[in-house]
Amino acid sequence: MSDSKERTGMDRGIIKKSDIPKLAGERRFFAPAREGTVPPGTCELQENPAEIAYGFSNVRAPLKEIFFPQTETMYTFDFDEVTDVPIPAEQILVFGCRPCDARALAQLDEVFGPENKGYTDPYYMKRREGSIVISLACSAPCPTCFCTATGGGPTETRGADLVAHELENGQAGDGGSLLIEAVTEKGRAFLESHKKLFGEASDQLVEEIREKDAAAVEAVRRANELGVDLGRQIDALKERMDPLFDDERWQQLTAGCIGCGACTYLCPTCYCFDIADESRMYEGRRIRTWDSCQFAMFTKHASGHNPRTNKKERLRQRFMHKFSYAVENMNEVLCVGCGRCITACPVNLDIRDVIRSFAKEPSRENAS
Amino acid sequence: MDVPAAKSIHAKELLTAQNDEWHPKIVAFLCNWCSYAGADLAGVSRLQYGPNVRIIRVPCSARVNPQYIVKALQNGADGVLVSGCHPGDCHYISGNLVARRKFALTKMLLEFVGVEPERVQFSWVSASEGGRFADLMNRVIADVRRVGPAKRLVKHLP
Amino acid sequence: MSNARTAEIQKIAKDLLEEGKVELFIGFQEGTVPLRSRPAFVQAEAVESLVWDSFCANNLAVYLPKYYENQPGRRKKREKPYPKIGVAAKGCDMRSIVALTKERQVQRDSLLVVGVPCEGMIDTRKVEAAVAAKGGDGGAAAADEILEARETEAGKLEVTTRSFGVLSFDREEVLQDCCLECRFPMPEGADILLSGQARKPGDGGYARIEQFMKKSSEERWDYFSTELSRCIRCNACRQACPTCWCKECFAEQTDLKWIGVGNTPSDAMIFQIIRVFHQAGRCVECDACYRACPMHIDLRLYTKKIVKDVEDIFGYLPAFDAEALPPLATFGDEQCDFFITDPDKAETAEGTGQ
Repeated sequence: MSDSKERTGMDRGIIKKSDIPKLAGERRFFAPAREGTVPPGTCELQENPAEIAYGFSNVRAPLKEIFFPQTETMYTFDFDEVTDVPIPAEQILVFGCRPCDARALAQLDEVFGPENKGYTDPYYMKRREGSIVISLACSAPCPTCFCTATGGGPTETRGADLVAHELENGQAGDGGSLLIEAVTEKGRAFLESHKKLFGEASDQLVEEIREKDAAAVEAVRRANELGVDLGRQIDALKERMDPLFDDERWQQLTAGCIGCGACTYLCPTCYCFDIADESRMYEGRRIRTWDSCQFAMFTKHASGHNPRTNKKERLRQRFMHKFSYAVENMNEVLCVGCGRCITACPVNLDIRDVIRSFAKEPSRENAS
Repeated sequence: MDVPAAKSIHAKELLTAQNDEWHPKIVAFLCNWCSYAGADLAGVSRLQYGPNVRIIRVPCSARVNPQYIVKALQNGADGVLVSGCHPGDCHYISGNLVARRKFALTKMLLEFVGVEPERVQFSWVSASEGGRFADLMNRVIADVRRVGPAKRLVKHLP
Repeated sequence: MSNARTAEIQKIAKDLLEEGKVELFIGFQEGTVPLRSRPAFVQAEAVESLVWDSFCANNLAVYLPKYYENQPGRRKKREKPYPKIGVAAKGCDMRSIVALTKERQVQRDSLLVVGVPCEGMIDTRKVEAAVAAKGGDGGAAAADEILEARETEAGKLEVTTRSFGVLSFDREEVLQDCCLECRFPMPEGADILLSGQARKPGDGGYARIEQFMKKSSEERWDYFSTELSRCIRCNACRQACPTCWCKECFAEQTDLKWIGVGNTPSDAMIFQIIRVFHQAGRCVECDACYRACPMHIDLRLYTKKIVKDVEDIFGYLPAFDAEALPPLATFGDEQCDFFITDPDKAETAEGTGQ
């Protein structure tokens, strides 16, 4: 069983795919599925799906929808009486998100959690505290993935409590199993509490898995050809990005943008929100909704002045936030290389073009 | 279907509906010069129609933006009526003619997305047609009563 | 086919730019993902990046109003001359340009349109669905299966996939529905026309609307509310549309708050209802909204409905005539009282049945 090194709980085990829903117990259970209105060829994290989908590269929407919903009521009011909406202290189990999405969740934890200057966002954290995340390692990343360029990888563990690997035929017999390894204490305790569902995983199996992992990492590195690992260049980025604010290349890079906001809404690490009151006569509610720096009204001041009047400035803001401001403030590159912004963009604006452009020496003379 | 004359069917429904739990709430946008005056005439003539209508007076039916109609539905109106002058008689000459185009499109689009056609209705009532106004009201109230409380576009607040 | 057009458009753009007839040329360049070409904004030194192929689906007219806009609060007449812009336009793009001209959002005199007789554009989603179907149930996410796509001289689309080798499709199998149904593939009124034929005009695709109208009110509501349940209010549909050019959209008004900003179902549905209504007489069915929607909502059913209604009732279609008055800015002598409730008539309000 556990390779005991004076830790509590279980380190790893093999579980049948069909047993995964049993792990949920009383928890709200989210797993990738193709039911209902999911467009053909895509899948999405659905609650309690009848059948869990495999063989996809990534789900449509990132994890933030679960912990940071698009619209959330903060409180309701009736004339002068305010009623807090109790934040559900939910127990959530997420299975099958990819390592990039799990890493994004870890980054959002830094934004919404107590590390962020001591303020905790209760709406996000209450759900997050009671959650267990089992990520599913990638073996065949897709053409738009570039996780290795942002400090992550197709098999990394950050942000997940447990990491699962699909086992092929010949490994553990029937090809319908997964190896699940614990990453955090919470993960170990979770495995321990469900140990009846798990079989033993040999050291040899784990070694084979690690080899596969290395191959997957190589595959992504080759595929994206960005030639950088921004995650390892935090200090260099801090120095390099700031002067790029005035670079001439932004104009050409952002010319095609239509300001639609799809990139920000599908991005696992974008977290900007708006708080609005909706009322009818004396009753109403205060809601928090997603907002996007790509919307023209995002920076409009009450005075009427708008410091970011055109899309070049807005799109530049998005990239600077991810690769400069977050690096300065949080030591994080706020991009996990999932590629959703690339596939969602109606005009095929590519964040990799931006990274490639600025991975070269910054220069004011460079006119694209 | 054997349909008795409009007037009596609505009166009958009016009487039987008095004990119902739910009563339709209808918002009516009436143009000041014709329909509103027609409604006023119905009032002074003591013509009876259901108490389910909230009237909003607008200078001309053209003033009515489709967004008003949809907003009323969102706020929980069970039915919306817009009524103006007869085509050719608009106080502003052609307001209701342009409005007619907007209304045709609005009605068809709302029906297409699945809002019950009985809920959003349009009519022409002139200032002298008090009786017609009362009949129109009763007819609309009966129609809306038949389709029940509005659920489809309603936004519940809080 | 596409190679010839690529060469032609590069030459035309080069000449225009070098002769100073335009300051900027808006066309397409190769995309970074398969099945996509993306908008390009080139000056003389970059004309070699221009392409023309069957992946040029975007409606380029969406970029134009910005070049011609005036400063808000401007009192004096504009002093600077309008910029001279060249743009590549298919049939739908040209119709959008005409609509924008009518609405004074574009200065037609300083716009130089290079018309492309359109053979139709390929539908990325149809290709993805076809690839997904190969995998059967639980097939891989199609978007990542597709490694490369190219058009052959023989009019086929060859798609290199990860698991299924190279798949070959007839263009017609995977063309966008809006192209199959398009009645105006030839951009009339363009200043320069590329050589070649446009595809044969389609029939407008109204049959689908007629079929849909036969469903009951409940069924239609189910479909609408289910489709719109996926809406995340990203506004991509609005931003992608060339004729959605309002500086302040009704959805963002706060001094009169029509709808909220969240994805409450009622708000999402009303956003679409009014957005589609605002397109009456202006929508050219380029399907930019449909393509832009990251949630794959069936917007084109509703845009087609408003286009059909405007044509059926008012006999108007936004085409190439910049003098034709927009239908909602005028009135005609049409007998369109069919939707009016007449209390003197005994029939009940069963709807227009249109």
